Amino acid sequence: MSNISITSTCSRSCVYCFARTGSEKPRYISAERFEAALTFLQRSGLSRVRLLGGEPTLHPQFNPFLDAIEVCGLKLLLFSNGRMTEKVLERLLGFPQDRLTILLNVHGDDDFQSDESCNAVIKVLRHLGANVMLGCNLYSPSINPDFILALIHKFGLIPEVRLGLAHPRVGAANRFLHPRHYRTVGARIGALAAKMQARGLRLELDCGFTPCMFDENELRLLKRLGAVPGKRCNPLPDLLPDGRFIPCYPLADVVHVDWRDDDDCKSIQARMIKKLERYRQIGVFSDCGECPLRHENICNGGCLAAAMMRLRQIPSSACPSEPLARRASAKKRAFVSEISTEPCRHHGVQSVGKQTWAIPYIDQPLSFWQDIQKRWGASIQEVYPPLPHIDLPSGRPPQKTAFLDAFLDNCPFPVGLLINPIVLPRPVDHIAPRVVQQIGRWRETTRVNSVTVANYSLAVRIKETFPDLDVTASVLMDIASPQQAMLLNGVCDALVPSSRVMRDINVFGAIRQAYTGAIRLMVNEGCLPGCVFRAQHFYEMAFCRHVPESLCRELLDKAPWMRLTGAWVLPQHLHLFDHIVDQFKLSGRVTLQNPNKYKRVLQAYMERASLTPNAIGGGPASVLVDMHIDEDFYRHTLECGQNCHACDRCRVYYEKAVSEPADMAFSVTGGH
Amino acid sequence: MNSRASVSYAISTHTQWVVERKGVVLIHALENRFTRLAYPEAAAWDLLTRNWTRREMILMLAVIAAVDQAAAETLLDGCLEQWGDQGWLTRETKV
Repeated sequence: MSNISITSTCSRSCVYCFARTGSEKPRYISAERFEAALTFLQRSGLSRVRLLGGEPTLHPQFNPFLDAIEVCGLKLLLFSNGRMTEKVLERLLGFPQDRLTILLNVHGDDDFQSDESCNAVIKVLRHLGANVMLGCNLYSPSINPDFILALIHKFGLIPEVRLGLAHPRVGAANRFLHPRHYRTVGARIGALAAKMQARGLRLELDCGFTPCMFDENELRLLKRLGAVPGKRCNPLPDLLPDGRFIPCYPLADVVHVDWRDDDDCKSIQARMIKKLERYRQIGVFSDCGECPLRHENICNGGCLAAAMMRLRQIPSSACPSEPLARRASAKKRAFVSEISTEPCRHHGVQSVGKQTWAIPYIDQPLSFWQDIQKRWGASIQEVYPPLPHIDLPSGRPPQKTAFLDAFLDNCPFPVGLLINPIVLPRPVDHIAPRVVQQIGRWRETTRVNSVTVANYSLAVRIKETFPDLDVTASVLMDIASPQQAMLLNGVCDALVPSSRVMRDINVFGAIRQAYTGAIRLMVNEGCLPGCVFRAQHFYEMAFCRHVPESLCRELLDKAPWMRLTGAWVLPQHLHLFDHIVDQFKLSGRVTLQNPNKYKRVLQAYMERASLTPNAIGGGPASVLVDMHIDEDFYRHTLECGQNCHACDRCRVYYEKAVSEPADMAFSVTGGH
Repeated sequence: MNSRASVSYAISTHTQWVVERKGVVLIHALENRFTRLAYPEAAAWDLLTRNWTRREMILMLAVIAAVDQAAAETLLDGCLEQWGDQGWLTRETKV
């Protein structure tokens, strides 16, 4: 196979396009070179011309080129966006239909909304549908290619779909699907494949797909559809309009070979293979080198261009270990580098208190995070985002992720990975290797500060593999006594004590003494201590797709004063924990999705300003009514030992607060 | 640039590298060759890329390789000499 790019001109400007650089000159292949290219194909024993661009139908000589192909008796595969003129459409209708295939790339339903060019695409589908195969390049994990199935049915298209991954062009700055998203995309393709099988459709996977994108069931399904990932990253000589051969567009600026008169496809391919040989040692992931699928020649490590994005080199300016990709787009990323390369603690205003903070990701544009960094960057240790490409749930329901890619690419803060479902869905021996692998992939691309886990064995495995990575014992590990805390010494660098003991300052202090690592306190979760629904609630949160109803509501309707005993501390009372706590954690992936509220709450905690308990973004068991919490009262709840059966102080306090106006019932405590 | 006696070393501008899970792969940008470094040599390479001083590198390498400082120095010097011979590093002789 060989492709002939007859023009670099295109009528679209796709964000992921790896063909567009503006450097290929001339923009159109000459008639003489095209004629020579046909001879080259025939000399190579190839029976099909594969025309691509740009948009090949924009070449002024496109119709005469088709005449030449027809005279030669060759088949034609045309890569097009479908936005072609009537004249070209007519010529294609006149081409021998048994020798014509049009691969039409579409992005989504919006390709078929309104404007004239969309009408042109629809016309192509209507008139040439039996010759049209649809393709879709996946450049973001959010793309759902399911819409293609309806188009195939509607227009009677070739019953096959070609999916491609948008790869990086080495040295350029096109948008591409980062390998960290491969598993997410793999699962999506698996779901699509199941629907395709039911409809009797075939699936073709373009180059760069790796078997590890899919689980075993998905791989079996793909095989049945005729799609085998792993082996398609070989140089397929592409002839450019200027007469150079390249292995593919993503590698166009790395390798090219000049055309000699006696060349055929195999000789050019051999020269390219030789030039790229040394780079074949690396794969898209840091563990590709040890992967048995690689050694068994089942996978060749994914897209070579994507693998080369991992290369580092000393640039001439002697800036150490700068990734090639970043150098290539240094101008574009200059601002990003400015805010992200320095340790965060050197920026921003120091909050009140010596502790650092872990704060939740909410789906906001980068400017939101830049503002937070500017205001409180010095105190923020990490942001914990959702984990769309780690198999295990984070213990919380799915979040919106529209801005997640931009956040991860340009994040001004290190991230904390939360892998803490309340129970693991399979034995830890089955799960740990894959989790470790996925953490490794995160670390390749993102500044990972810590991993929070709820399973002790998993914590041990992670620490063994990444001794330099901070491992935090989740609140869901339920560490509620000094002897439990001692078990974590040397394994976990930090622990979040169980919410059962957060309001028991004596036990909290004993844990502090027994544990050599850092103590992290969740300030606003609000769960009841030892909640009888806790396991079920977090199970539903982790493994169901919906946000579960509050299970404790009925219980709390009967005894609403219990809300005062929950795991929360107001900003103005943080100082009561100063001698015990090293780090604070703000909850609120669900409750603080409003960006203004998020900043208000964060500001209050940073500055230890007064808030009422219903304003801290707490969970379902937190105080829902507006009331002031007196410091003496709060201190009492930390020291009382929760002998609620013999005490009615919280009940009285609560009933008084809800029966009287807040500003009259209690004095407002000031900030510290 | 890291000095050893009267010779100092710097990473060649033609040397590219990739940090793998169990080592480092060095690739020559112009010549068709590569080499794989396992630990602790890979750690030595990593320290080299961070522009640390020779003293800092020896101290860190001693910790990573779990050897004393004399052994770490020998290890580092062996690596530098070998990588210099192979063209991954460039040498400059001080006058």
